[in-house]
Amino acid sequence: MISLSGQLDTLSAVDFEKEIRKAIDSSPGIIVLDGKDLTYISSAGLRLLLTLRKGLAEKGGRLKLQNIREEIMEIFNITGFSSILDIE
Amino acid sequence: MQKSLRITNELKQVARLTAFIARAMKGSTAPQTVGMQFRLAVEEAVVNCILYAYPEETKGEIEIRIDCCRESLTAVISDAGRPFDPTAGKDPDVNLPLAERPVGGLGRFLVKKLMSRVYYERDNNNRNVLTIIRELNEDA
Repeated sequence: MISLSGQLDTLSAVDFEKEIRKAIDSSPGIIVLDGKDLTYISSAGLRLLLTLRKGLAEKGGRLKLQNIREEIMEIFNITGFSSILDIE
Repeated sequence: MQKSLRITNELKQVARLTAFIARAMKGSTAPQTVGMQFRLAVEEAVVNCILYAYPEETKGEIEIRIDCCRESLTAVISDAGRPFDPTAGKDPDVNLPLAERPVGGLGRFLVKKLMSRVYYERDNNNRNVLTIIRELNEDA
């Protein structure tokens, strides 16, 4: 499980992608992202989640998100991400 | 009170932008979620300017003015790049299944969806001027 904390904006999305690529390469199973402390997401963060979701699906893995805060869920709803991401 | 920031068209400037928005919104009565959405819209609009306003490898500047008052949050973003209206163009289809989902196009869409009003004009000084407004009494 990987915890998301703080902000997934244009700049932090770049670092986060590197981090998560390592996790996918070492164990392409189920990756769980905990959003309890995620308070901000920009389109760069959304793009990253979409890329991960697709990349993991191609390798037979899964991306799961849990504890997503209401304000972030609203962004997922507006962009239709709530129907393509696996959110608990 | 209106505050302004001038940045160059480099992505690393987003850190300055984020700090500037936080400063400009200090003392605003906007609920936290609305403040977050406003920051998101400004970031998306400015990142679009950084990436696309000027030809690649060309240095350019972008000016951001923010005005927070009791009734609304307003940001005016301008650049001297090529004419581009970010309010025009088709919105992405947010109902497409995963396999058909394009990875881009969400930034401009979020600006339009999250804000109350968004205007574009090419002004007399040949600048792109994008005004985004979030009314604060809409949720009341």
